[in-house]
Amino acid sequence: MRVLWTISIVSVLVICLVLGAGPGTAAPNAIVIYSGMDEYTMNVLTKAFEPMTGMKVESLILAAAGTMASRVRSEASAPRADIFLGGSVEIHEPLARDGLLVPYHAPEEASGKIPSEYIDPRGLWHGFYAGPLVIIVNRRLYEQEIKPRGGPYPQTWDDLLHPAYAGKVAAWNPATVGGGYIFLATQIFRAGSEDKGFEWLKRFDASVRVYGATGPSTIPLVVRGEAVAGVAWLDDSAEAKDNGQPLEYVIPPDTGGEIGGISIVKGGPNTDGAKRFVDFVLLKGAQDAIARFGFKYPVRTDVPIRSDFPALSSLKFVKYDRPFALQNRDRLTKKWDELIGSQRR
Amino acid sequence: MGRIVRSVIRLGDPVMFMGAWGTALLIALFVLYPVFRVLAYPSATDFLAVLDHPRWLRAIVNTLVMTTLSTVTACLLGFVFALALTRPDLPGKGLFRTISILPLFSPPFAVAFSYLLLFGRLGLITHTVFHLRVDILGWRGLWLSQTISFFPIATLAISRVLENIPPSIEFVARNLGADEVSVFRTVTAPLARPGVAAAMLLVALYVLADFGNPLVIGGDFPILATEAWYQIEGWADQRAAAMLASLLLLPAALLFLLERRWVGRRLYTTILGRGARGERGPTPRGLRVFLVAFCSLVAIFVGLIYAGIVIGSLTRVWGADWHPTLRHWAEAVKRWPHVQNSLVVSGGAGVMAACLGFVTAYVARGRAVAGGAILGAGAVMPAAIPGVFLGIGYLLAFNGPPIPLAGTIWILILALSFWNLPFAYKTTAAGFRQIDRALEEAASNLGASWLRVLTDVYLPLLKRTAWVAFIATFVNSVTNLSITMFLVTARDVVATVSILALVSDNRLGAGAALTTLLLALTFAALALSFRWMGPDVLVA
Repeated sequence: MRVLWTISIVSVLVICLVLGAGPGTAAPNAIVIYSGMDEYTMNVLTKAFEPMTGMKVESLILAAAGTMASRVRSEASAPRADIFLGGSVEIHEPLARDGLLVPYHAPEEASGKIPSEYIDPRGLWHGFYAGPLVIIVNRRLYEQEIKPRGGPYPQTWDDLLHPAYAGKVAAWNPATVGGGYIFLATQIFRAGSEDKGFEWLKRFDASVRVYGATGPSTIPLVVRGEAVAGVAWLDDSAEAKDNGQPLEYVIPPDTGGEIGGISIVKGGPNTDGAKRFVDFVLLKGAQDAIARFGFKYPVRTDVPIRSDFPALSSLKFVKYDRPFALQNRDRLTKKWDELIGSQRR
Repeated sequence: MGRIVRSVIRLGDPVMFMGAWGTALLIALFVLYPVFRVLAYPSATDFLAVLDHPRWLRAIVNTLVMTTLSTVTACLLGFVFALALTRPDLPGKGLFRTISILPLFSPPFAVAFSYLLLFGRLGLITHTVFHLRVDILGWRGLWLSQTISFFPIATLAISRVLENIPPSIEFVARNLGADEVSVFRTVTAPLARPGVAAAMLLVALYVLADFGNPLVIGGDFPILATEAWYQIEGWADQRAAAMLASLLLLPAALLFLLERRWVGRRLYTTILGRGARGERGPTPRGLRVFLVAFCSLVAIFVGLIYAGIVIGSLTRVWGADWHPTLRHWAEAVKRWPHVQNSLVVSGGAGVMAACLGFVTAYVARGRAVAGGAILGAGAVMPAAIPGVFLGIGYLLAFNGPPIPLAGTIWILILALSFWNLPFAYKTTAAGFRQIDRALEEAASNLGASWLRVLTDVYLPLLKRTAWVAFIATFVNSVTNLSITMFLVTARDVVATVSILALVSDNRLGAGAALTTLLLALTFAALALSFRWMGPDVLVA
């Protein structure tokens, strides 16, 4: 008898729970953001956007843009996000190609304040920040291990080829990290041809201690002394340094860069609200916050950059042929793996 | 009323069949269907692409090698711990028990980071104390961290079986003139076989799907599970990722078949109920010294790793600036709602997994129902699925009608409970295997219904096993990241996702503080349940 009672109570509970667990819908005047950007900057942006528009922002923040993109893709049958923000446009492009994004032309993009390289002509993604690849250095280890052997403090990519760096650099694996591929392509464009680029990468391979498999992996490796120098993004490196981590960074000439993208998810709960958010992040105020708190270069030419960053005009970017890089991704990473990745150990 | 009950009870076996079908349906819906959605994602040409990528071929080989290495060492370690924990007269048992479950709480990133902090090139111990230059990145470090991470699973599975070996049998063997070695060889070891086999299978499946350890400490060493994840995180390439993940299912299926051959065919019946236990005799001196020494060594090692996390949360910059600070804790306390979500989700998943595991094991046991083996296979399957994929599979399967679960907290609870079903099922099934069927038959002959048999025979004997299933699931869920990462919504973020956000922001101190907070809470919950269930609940 007692058992029957228990069973009936449990089933009633289960039924209640099932009924109570309808699909969660966003508040009518809210937008949902999947963000690959850091939390602090997101909070600043949210606090400015909400009173401005009267809309609520619900954001899921995870500095893992690829994972967020996969979520957008998996949810395509019933999208839950309005905005996918952060990560290089290389991550946004496949979503655009598969028709998962809404084309939109923001008024600010027509204002002439944003250079054309940050604007997608189809309006599927919108570049809203930029960041170069940098060399990160553990100064203490440099003094201990590189300097006595005559190695230069790395100012250029070529400095990392010095024999003193043999086995002491943390790089990215282009097969697994988007930034690693941008690095590979950068070296090809810098060398002028694919063959010369790979020749350089092969020499560089002698300096590499480890090809980190994820984007954020190189900074902790250098901070913790597993490597003396490494390849990283400027925003991550500057933020780590700002947090007091023992890390220095150098923006080498002829470096490559990422364009941080924001895009509107097709079929999301509040597409109109999403458009207003895209307008917002391209405004002067938002761009200023992104530059200041997010350690990034703004895309607007009329927004000041951080005082500790060199002016964007003083940076020499390699001539980065983005369409070529996007089209040849699979072929070049495979070639890299055959020539370099699979030859290790 | 009484008559209705009696007629329901007389239905007996049909009800059992309904139970079997119900369980099968649930497993089909919440395990097979999402897996199918993932498998159906890549095309045949995607699979052929493997042959074209040397890195992926290497990943296949590495995966098999690491699975073998780590499983063997983790099970050896687990066996020694299980031996120690089931001896009544071992000093420091309480400490060893705590240590043996600690790595189960291994929160993502923190443990492997702690390894680097302690044993890396500039490691506190290797460099600062011993002036060594060791290379922990790569397969050696991975081997070590997987061994430490997964030996608790082996300990749990093996010790429960060892505990259930009646000391009287060993006693009898000793009385007949057998020495300690032959008692172990001819009595203890064979009887422990189902437990050891279950442990090896489980550990192997966990190692196979492990991605937290290789992610942090694997360096360049490609492994299928991480390789699949890199394809998602680095390139948002779900096709390649799904293809690589499905390659994992093959060795997993093989392992499952092996285990069935090894254990399934024989009957391992030892207990007739609580009465037949008796007291275990004193442990021989040599064994005692060995056990204490060995376990202490492991305990020190594990303790250091967790101390590393706590220290990290209390110092300014982990590994660089050792000045004490509380600012990381201020940051962590602000995320209290995330911790709350974790506890709710994991508690729900724990209850559900324990119930499901119990019902499945009951239905699938022995010769009760045709197709029980298939049911069992279905229940173990999730262990072979990397969490990332179960996450994606759930999103693909339950995002829209007919079962729109995405966006609710239920999708998290369901995904976590079915993901943990293998452990819940295997522990309960091993428990069932040790209960003589004659008990059930006797009860049936005396007129007890299936329900009565379940509640009056099996439930009391397996209460503790169910509790172990709950605890393991709870703990596994609290520390899970691979699934939650895909299924959390903006409104119910759980603590691990919050930790990942901190870690990938390079705010390791705050991440360590939040991790410590999570650990402290789960331990408090455990301690409470110890008071309630008795202290030996985890080896029961």
